[in-house]
Amino acid sequence: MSDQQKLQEFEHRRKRQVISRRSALRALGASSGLGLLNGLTLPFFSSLPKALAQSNLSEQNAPQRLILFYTPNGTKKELWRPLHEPGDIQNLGPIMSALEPFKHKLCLFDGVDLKAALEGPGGPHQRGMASLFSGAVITEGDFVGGDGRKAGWGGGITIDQLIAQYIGNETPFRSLELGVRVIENMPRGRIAYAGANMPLPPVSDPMQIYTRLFSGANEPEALIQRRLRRRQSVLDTVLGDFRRLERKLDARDRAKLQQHAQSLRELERRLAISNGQGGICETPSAPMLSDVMNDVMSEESFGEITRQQIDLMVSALSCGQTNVASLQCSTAVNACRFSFLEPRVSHEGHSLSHAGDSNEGMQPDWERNLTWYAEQFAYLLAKLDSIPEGNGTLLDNTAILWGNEISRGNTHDLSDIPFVLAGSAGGKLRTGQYLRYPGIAHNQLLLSLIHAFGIEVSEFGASHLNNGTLAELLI
Amino acid sequence: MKLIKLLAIVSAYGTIFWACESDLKPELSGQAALYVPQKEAPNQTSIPTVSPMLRPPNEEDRCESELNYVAPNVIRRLTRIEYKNTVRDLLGLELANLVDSFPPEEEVNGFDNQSKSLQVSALHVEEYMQASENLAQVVVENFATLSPCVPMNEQAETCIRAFIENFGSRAWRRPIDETEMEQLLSLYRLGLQGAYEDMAHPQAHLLGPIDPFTDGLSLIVSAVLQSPHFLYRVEIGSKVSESYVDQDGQREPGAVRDLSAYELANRLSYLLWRSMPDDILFEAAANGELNNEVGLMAQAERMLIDPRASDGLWSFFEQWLAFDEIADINKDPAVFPLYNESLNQLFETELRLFVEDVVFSQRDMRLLFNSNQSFMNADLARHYARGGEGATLSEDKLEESAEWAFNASSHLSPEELSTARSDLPKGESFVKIELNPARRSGLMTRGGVLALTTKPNMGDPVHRGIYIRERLLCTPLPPPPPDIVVVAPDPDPSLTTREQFKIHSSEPACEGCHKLVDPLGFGLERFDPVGRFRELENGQEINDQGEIVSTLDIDGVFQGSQALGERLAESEQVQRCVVLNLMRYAQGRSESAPERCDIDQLYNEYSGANYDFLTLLRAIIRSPSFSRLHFDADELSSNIVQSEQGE
Repeated sequence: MSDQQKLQEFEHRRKRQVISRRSALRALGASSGLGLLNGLTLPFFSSLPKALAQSNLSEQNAPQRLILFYTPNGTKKELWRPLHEPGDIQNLGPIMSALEPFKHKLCLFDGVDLKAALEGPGGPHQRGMASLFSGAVITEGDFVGGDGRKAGWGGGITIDQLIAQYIGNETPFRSLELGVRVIENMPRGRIAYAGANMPLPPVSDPMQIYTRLFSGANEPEALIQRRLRRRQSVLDTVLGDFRRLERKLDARDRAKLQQHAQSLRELERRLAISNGQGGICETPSAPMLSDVMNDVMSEESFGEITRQQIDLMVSALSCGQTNVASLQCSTAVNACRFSFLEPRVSHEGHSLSHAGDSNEGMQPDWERNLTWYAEQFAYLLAKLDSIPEGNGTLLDNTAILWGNEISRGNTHDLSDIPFVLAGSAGGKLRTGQYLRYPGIAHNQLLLSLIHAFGIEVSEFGASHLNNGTLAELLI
Repeated sequence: MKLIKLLAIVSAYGTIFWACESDLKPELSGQAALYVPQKEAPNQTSIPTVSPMLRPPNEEDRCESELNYVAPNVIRRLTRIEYKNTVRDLLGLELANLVDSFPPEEEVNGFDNQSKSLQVSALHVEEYMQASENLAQVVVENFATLSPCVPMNEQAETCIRAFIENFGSRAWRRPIDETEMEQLLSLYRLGLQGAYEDMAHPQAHLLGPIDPFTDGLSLIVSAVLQSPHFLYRVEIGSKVSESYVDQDGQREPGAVRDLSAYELANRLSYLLWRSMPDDILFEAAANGELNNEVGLMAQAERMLIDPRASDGLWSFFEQWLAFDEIADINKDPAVFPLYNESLNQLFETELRLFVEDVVFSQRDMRLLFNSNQSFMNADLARHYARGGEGATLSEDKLEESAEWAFNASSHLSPEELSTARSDLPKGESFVKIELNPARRSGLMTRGGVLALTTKPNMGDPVHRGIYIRERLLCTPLPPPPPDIVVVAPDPDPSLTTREQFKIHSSEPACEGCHKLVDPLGFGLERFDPVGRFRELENGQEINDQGEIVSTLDIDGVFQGSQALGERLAESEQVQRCVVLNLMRYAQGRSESAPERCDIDQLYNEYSGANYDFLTLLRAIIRSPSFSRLHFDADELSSNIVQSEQGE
């Protein structure tokens, strides 16, 4: 079977039951010569190694979803771990107590290392970011921070982008990258990659996300059709420019333009199926702009923006706008003081994370930062869990992986990363477990997640760090 | 207050680790701990060697035969700033918020225009589409002023043709060819036809205003602005470069092409203006004036006088020296109650006027590092004159401050002194002012840089040192050693910043890296974190002895800011670092090893002109690589390079 056929079969199997306007629009897109699948699939999909053995429909006949959640600068594993030996989760660690209501829907891990981040140039924060969700070794490039060799960007596609190639075909957005105060446009400021050296920028402004997702939701059908037709005419012409120009360029330039043209075809695809709201959600209202949010990059607005982004992300998932999203709470080495916490926090997060273990002035503040992160994660889970789907909830149909580029700020340790997995991706993951491993590469965890989505590739990220999936995790 | 002080001191100890892998950001983080070896002896961080690109070449470099290398690069996408400027010059309209929602550029080498890293994602193309539609609307509304003709019914297409000829050629920054014209005309007809169909739609009233002509026009504009010819600086070259020398067979002779005149015009305008060529430059390209050095340089000289050049060159300086981060500085009001964020703007203006004075008037880049001249308005002068800890002037006698050169000079008559004092800035506008050279010496002593390189609540010699080492000396720091743990130190509030950081040099694990930076910053210890001169810190006397190590030519102990400024000003390494940075910015890429001889030649021209920045800039424009292109032809790319540019 060709990859193309595999994809189509996959598509066929995971058809959603909700018939929405989207379907009608998709038909329109196909008949107007957009060539949806042709243009879209070849460059990316021809490189995919394996077919899909399992249905991607969850037990509830709702789509599977994936969320990546990121917080920086490590944690305090001794306060993070459950208060008991590995096994069924009973009592969460003190900085994780906000997650108590969801402990049966979580998996917590000891002994999962970012082994890929022990290789390659650059500092630990750079290497950790580059490999966190890709399992790949950072490339060499032009960024300061290397020892003789300078750091580059991440060395491979990230799990969200890979999975989105399979479960993102019917949603207007194949994936959404959201951020909170992402001010560094460097390897330390990116968690999602379309491929090696292809970082994807997150959007830190909730209003921009809202506009992307929901503007025009209530427009008349005829107007939507008119705009769509006109945009398609323009994009056809533009893609013609790309084709003609590519022939005149050398391979380096051509690759750059092909990446651009690929994004344009992705845009065409999205336009053809967007504006449909899936019929299972209500369009949310626009984010309320309070005074502090006038500057979305300010320290003061950090907490509020985080909540807004979580709200929008959940709306996007429940409204069928996307099946894959990531939320990046700032960047590695974020110099952000959580000034919204009371009482006053003494230092910004990165400084706090560096405090000595016996530093009584700063450690309590660092723990408050960490507790706050867990509370935001709990808020996300609560939102997802409040939306019924089939016999369960949106949370059940989602897999949420919470990662961090290092495990501990004051040592920059890249082993024993505080990975948290929530939701079962539609009954494909065995939750409620606290698992301990003897220092395995996190590629195994990433590969397990990929398999939970029915994508049976044999390895992910750096080949030499692969050792199959985690049997305990997969159902 | 006591608590804050205590915490500040705790955190002073910890900068060790972070400092070793940091990029400077407006808020610099502190840390709270002392690092000591975890096991026996940690791997000593190796001292970085100075890059060969910063050294004068030797015989092994064989520079007599290695010149004129043309390094490969990737097609350059317009950055947000370039997009915005290009639209401004294309439409003659300044549009607010046009690119605010575009994803920010990935930054490499500190610059936003390094093409290899610039991405195009789904988000980019969405934003480009949205912007192109908004701009199409602007064009429709302003068609009368943008078009040479009025679209009467029968002649509408003639008029559209004239519009495309003009608008399309300017947007794509080279003449549009007949195939392209036909593509755009057929798009226009599609829009026209769609409009007639929509007017006949049963729900036409829901479709908003429909007008066949503007329906067609807006499609054209939208397509032109989403085209790669607009979004990229397309370079195909005009012919295989004949003058290209291939001495040792290392360079494929066919891989270098001469740029077409229009491509060269674009390189020039985006370097000097960060925008598209103007009509005069287009005309020069069309007339073949750019094919020779005289014509090319004549255009460069003309463009350098244009106000766009001052904005364009500022873009280089503000990225190289991180001035673009000054706007985001914040300081802890509990520690610096007199500081407020409106000072950031003043700091930035001071630096811009200072840099422009050095570049355009003084014409000597050494002054950037040791000049005591600056520019201030009344508010900024007041900030400096007030002074930091230990200052004894009363608020109404600020003209007596030792900040001002005239107060530091012993041979002024009372009349001269009084005149000088009355010349101090009074209002909002900035005036040139001589500062006390014993204190203020070059950019490292300007408030913006001093505040940028410290923490919100405390001093930070480490980051001042990193700034000098990375930005002025072009020697990035190695990452920290891998095996270290943290032990919290006992804070001692009676110590100065310098004494608190002493631990860095007494621990072998830290010393390797920190001796590169801490002693550099110590030389600036007389300036507090908001840039004021101070006599005391925590009630203690200040020691501002510093040391420079691991440079090519300015190693050694020095005393205070004036001596530091003099060292930097006399350093060849610093000036070679200027060359390297301007090359990266101008070429949109990192340097490659075979270019070392070309870079050396640029340096020689620059140093021969007493470090006149404009001479260096001209030398880059005149250099062969500026008008050439590395092109690796393969079976897919067409081998015919003539006449591709629609002439």
